Parts: sequence; structure tokens; C-alpha cells
Amino acid sequence: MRRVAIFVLLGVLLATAAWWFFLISPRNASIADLQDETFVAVDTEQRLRVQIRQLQDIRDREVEYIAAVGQLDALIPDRPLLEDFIEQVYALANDTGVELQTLSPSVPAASTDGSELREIAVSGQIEGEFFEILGFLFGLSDMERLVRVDSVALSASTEEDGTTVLSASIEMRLFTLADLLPIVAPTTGEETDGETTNTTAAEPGPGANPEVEP
Amino acid sequence: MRPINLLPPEVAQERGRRRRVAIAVFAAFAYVFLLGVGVLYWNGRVDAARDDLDAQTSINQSLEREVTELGNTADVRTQYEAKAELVRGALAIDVDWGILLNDLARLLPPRVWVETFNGTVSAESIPGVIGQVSFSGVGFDFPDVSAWLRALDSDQFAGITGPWVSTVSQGIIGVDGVVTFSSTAVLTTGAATDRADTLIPEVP
Repeated sequence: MRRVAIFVLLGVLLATAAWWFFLISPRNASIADLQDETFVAVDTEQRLRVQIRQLQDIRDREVEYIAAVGQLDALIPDRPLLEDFIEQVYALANDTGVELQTLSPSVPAASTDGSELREIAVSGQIEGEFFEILGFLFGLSDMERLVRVDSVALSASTEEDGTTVLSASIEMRLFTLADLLPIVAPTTGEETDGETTNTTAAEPGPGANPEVEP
Repeated sequence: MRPINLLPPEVAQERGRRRRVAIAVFAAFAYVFLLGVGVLYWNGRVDAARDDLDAQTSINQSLEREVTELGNTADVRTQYEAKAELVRGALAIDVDWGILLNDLARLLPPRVWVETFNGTVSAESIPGVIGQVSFSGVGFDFPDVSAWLRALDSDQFAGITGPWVSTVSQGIIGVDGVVTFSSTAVLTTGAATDRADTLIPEVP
């Protein structure tokens, strides 16, 4: 009788173990997988909610962003706008009292830092008293368009009436996003002396006039 | 009164055996029933977990639709950030020459004047050095040149360091003896402006 009870107990244990391993364990694994996926989905929900808050914030400030983009466009215009710059520099020279003697802008060239910027190097020669030249330099910094001064050379000279006049040579840079002229890309496979011409850096900018041919 | 059983003992044994078999069969059914209930319970847990996931997926799909609808509004910010980055790039290592010359005039020793000034910004090849300035000036005597060097090297002139005089020579202006000198110094990051931060409009 006791032996039968032991066999029955062993049978129950074996059946329970089999039940656990073959029926319950796969379900537990499924539950764990589903819970993991739910946790990931909850994280995604948090991320999406943050993203939505940020986007709503941007939408609420859209006017401010558009105004800011407008100001940044004025600093670095899409086109060279050299005519405006010459007028502005002329006006600045008149306002500050310096005599604008020469202004030598070069054509827009690709920036050396590899960005989409085009640089317009401008050499200028002005003459005036020290504080007039100082005012001119401050005025360049405050212009609506971005002007950076890379080099300043001053030399003093004495006029016939004994007054000291400073002559200033200023190297400036303006920035734009367009080349002056579109660069014509060579046809595919064109080679010169066995070397393929690289035109990657010579693509026209967004504001270049496609109708003007060099 | 004590009951008296006149049936043979085999009958009692047979009844006992049948009762034990019945109990065993009942126990077996109960056991199988419990296992079945367990399977149903775990199936319920799996279904609940799947429902949770489906509900969460549904919420996420709704949020993703909202993100897609709002997606266009991010363009203006992307545009703003790209243009701001261009301005920062354009104004990397920018020197405010007006302030530099103003400081120079303010700190110039009393018996020294500058005849020529040349300042150039260059790429930062040595950490902290962003350019070079050179001067030619006039003083009344050699100690004035020392005063010039001290003035350039003073803490009040944050944008310039490493002043040096390469030549000092005696001369005459009118009837007065003077010394003329050539001097150089390097521009430090102290002379660089934070114009990019000022010019880029801040959108809170």
C-alpha cells in the first residue's frame, strides 16, 4: 500500500513538472516577452509625448522662429547683394566722417570650412582721424549684414596744416549662400590629361542666376 | 447498542476497495481539473499582457500620427538652427578691432605714440593664439619702450600677450631726440568677440 502511495506521489510530481515545463513555462515566456515589448512601447510613448511637447512649443513660437530666420537671412543673404553693401558702407563712411577711398570686393568663393557659405573678401581703404576710424570699425560690426574684419592696418601721416590723419587698410569678409555665376559641370567621364576633373565644390548655390553664362 | 454485521468480511473489503478507487478517480479528476484551471489562468495572463501591449501600441500609433501632423512645424526650427550655425561658423575667431584699438589708445603710455599698426586674424595654430599684431612707434627715450611693453603685457589688455620689441633706434624729430621701435604681440582669445551670440536672435 505504501509503495502504491509512493508511486502515485511520484506520478503526481512528474505530471506536475511536465505540466509546468510543457504548458506553463512557454506561457510565462510569452508573458515576459509581451511585458518587455510593453515596456519598450511605454518608453516610446514617453519619447513621443516629449517630441509632441517640443513640436507644440515650436508651433506656438513659429512667428518668433520666422522672425529670427528673417534676421539671420539679413546677416547672411541668399544672394551676394553687393550693391546694398556698397551703399551701406558709403553711408557708414559719411556718418562716421571717414573718407572712403577704395573698396575692392572679390567674387564669392566657397568657404574653406566646407560649409555652404560663400565668402566675399573685400579690401577697403579709408582715411580719417582715430576716433572716426574707430567709429567706422564699430559700425561695420553693427551692420545689418554680417561683416567680419580679418585685418586692420593703420598708418599715421601728417597733413600740411599739421593735423595727423590715419590711413586704414581693412580686410573684410561678407558671406552669402550663392555663387555669382553658375559653374558649368563637365560632362560625365570628361577627362583632361587622364585626370578626372572634380566639380564637387563648384556647384552653384541656391541663389545663383542660371541664365547668366560666363 | 453495538451494531452487528452478519455479512462476510470479503464484502466489507470489496466496499472499501471500491471506495478507495472512487476516491482515487475523484482525486485524479480534481488534479487534472486543477491543472486545467492553471492553464486557463496562465492563458488569461498571456491575453492580459497581449491586451496591454495592444493598448500601448494603439496609444503610440495615435501619438505618431500627431507627431506626423506636427512634423512640418519642426522645419522652421531646423532652418533657424542651420542658419544660426552658419553665423557661428562665419564668426569663428572674430576680433572686435574697434575695442582692441580703443583699449590700445587707453593704455598707451604717456610718452609713446604709435605710427603704424597692423593686426591680422589667423587660424588658431597655437591654442589660445588667434592672430598677430605689429606696431611701429616712437618714444622719447629707451625707458618709454619698456613702459610700452609693460602696458601691452598688463592684465588690463586681455586680448594681447607676448609683446616683443625687435628694434629700438635713436632718432631726431625736429630738435628733440626720440627712439623709434618696432614691436609685435600675439592676439589671444581674449580679443575674440561673442558677436555670434549677440547677433543670433534667441527664441526662448
